[in-house]
Amino acid sequence: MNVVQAAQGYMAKMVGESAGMKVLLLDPDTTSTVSSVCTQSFLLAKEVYLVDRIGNKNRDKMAHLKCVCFCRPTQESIAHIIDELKAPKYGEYYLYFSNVLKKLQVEKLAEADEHELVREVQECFADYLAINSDLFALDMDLPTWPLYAGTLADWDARALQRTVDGLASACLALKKRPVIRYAASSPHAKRLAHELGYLMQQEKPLFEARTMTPATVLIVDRRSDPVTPLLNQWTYQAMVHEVLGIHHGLVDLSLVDGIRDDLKTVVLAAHDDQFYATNMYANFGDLGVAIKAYLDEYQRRTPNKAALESIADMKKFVDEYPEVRRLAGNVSKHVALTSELSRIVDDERLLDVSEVEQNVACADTSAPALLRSDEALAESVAAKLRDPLVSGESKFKLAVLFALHNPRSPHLASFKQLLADAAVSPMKLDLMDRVVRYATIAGPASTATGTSATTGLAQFGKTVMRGLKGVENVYTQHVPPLHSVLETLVRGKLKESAYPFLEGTGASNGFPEGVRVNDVIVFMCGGTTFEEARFVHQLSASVPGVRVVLGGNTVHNSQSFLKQIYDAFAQRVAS
Amino acid sequence: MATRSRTALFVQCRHQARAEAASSSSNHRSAPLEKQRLIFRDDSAVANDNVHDHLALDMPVPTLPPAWVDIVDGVDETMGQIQQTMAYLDGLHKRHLLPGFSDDDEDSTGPGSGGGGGPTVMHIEATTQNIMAMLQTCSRHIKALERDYVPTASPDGAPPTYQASQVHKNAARRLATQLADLSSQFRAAQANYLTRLKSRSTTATPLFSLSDTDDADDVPLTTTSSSAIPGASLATVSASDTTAALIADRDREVSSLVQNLADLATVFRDMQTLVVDQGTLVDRIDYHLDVAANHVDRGNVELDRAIRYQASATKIRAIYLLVLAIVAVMLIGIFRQRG
Repeated sequence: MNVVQAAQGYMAKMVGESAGMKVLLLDPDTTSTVSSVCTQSFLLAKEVYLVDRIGNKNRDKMAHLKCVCFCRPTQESIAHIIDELKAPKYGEYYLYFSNVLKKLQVEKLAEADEHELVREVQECFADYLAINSDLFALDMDLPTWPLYAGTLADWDARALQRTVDGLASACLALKKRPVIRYAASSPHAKRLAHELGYLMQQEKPLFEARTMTPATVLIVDRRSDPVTPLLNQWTYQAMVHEVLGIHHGLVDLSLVDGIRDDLKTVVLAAHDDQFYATNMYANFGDLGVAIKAYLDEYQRRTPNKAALESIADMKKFVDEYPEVRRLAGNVSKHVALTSELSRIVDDERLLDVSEVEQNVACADTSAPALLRSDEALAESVAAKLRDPLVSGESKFKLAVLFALHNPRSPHLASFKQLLADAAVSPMKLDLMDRVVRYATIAGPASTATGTSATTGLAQFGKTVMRGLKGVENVYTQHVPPLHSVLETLVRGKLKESAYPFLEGTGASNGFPEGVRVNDVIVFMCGGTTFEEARFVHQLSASVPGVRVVLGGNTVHNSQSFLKQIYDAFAQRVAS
Repeated sequence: MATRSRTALFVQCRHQARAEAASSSSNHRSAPLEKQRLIFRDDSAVANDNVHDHLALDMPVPTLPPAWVDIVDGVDETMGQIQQTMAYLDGLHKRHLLPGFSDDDEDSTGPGSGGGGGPTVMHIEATTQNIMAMLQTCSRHIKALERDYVPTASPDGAPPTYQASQVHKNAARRLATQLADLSSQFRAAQANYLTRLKSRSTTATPLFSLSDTDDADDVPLTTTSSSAIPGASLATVSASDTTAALIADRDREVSSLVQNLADLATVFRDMQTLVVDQGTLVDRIDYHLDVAANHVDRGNVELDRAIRYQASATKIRAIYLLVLAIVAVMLIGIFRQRG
């Protein structure tokens, strides 16, 4: 179950089916899909000599080229294709669409094909952005894709359609027939589950094909866990996204002091980069060690000039030169990234801030006061809020985390005052209350894990054990609630009351409670995070026979998450 | 990964649409032509020629592909041949390295090793030379493609477009990458063969040592066997055998040196070809799309600027003319007054 491999397989099929010189036409959606799994060299090897946008009307007539066109079946793309077919520029056309085509669209295309140049019309379900082998996203960032409309319980219609299409295409790409379960406490998840079920009914022959195997599709809501995106991360991929931002697999380093020109934008892709693939889940300390080892290896392989004595040496050097050059590029990229991360960590005192964040996030509200003193916690937060060296954003995040931990705490008013003193805008201060409202799905703010009800005693016991054992690493002690949900699901013990099956797809498919589940596709409405992706990856690795894939509307860092909440309230919700 | 083909539905709809269009515009066409059309239309949409015959009426005349496409085809064919020959050479190497019972030194360059059984060394040499020649031909063609067949002005006088030059450059790049891969594969196979050969020959080292180097220096370097040295008497047969062995050894060293240098030359030549660094930003598809879009945008900006200058030029000319007219009228007025 590898979403990157599935997308690459589709690409190979599309450009490999016809021989001869080809041109590839993409639309804005499929451009990002294709760029994240496919390189220019791959296309060149398959004789694709030109790549362009379907919307670009200034293309030349080159009738000796064949045209492979890969688009999302949106109105705009279909209109562009119709224009192209009416005034064709290339010799033959092979149309591929990343999602289901409606009959009306096929008819319109057929009507427009006056010159009868279309040889193939196929659906290749690669309608998602493959980030890691077990993580995909739908690239639904603001401002193009607001998720909420009217109230927080309703989807924006366009966003819902896109989400259903994207999730269905991911299931089809992995050849899985969904057995849908959704979080009962979330109206969003329920709505998405119903829409997906409806789509499955409509496209029954597609989903019921013999090659499809069943897999549980678990739909959860970001609102049940607003804490995870707000925390500072300390593993490589998550940290780069939180601090610098990874967008479509590219990291923008142009604002870094003294950066080389060719490192202004760097590519981070696990399927191309061996070092990254091994170290993307490594924490910052281990990463430093790994980089040092990588640098040593590079120095070992680059001979100094004096060592080139015999012709055999020279031949060896020239033979290995391309490999060494690639290694050099990779080494400089990772060194630049880690040094920038390191500089930011030092400048913004992220280590101290993160310690307090983790303490706040992992404090249990149900524990009695004698074990975790709320006062001490509030005091440490206040100390950070007063610290002039900490950035305004970090202070705001810390205050929000505390508000989420204890919405009725008397300290919140004083925190707001401290933030106002630190020149945080009043708009943001309002956001603090709204985040708490965002987090409240049906019922009081709690981690709705839906596991067997943890009585006060069991919770107390857990806290005592934790207090006595101590934590391994205070910076990574937070475990997202998704992890425990998935563990119980995999063991077959996830309660139906909290995570019901969609009617008609549940027990009848042989997935009753108590049966161990092997293949899971988790979709988080509202966006997922790299931290959760890391836990999903570790779960797949540790439990044999289980394969889990995580997806979301987008991959959040703290900025994008706060922006989403802000947008949800500012424009959609009548507050 | 699941896919679904909608080609059948599409062709059916197209068929229907054509039928409707034909029936609605029947007053424009004579009956026989229409019948011809119905006969030619092929549901599988594979009969390209027929369709294009009929379409010659509607579509603009399809242009011929540019001349460099032939070169690309030629190089592709040669590379296919190279691959086949390399596979054949691999087989030859394997058979040659099989342990045999021949007493002859397997490294000898003269005829006579492996009487009726394994491949002769000369045959292997010939095949290797053949492959190297083909590689060099490909390399020359690719260089020529890059330099000489750059798309120049098209027949109607317009400058070569960005897209045409991109296609040409990418084609050259693909061929260069493929050739570089083939030649490194070939070199690796050669190196492998040589090391295995060396390891076999060291297990059967000649028992005499190379101590009389003076003799070796005086003797001319030839590749003939010992019996062909003129003036060899029976008494000096053993000595000349030793000398001959020395000659053969020195000869081999020199030729291997020459071979190494030649290899190095090819390798350096390969290095100069356009090989893209993989895994970098330049290898990203969206980067290229942005560059192309920028190109178009910059082109537009230039065009706008040119238009503006043009417009302002006409304006300025109009202003000059008016000023001249005013001055002329003033002068006429002054002369009239005087006169």
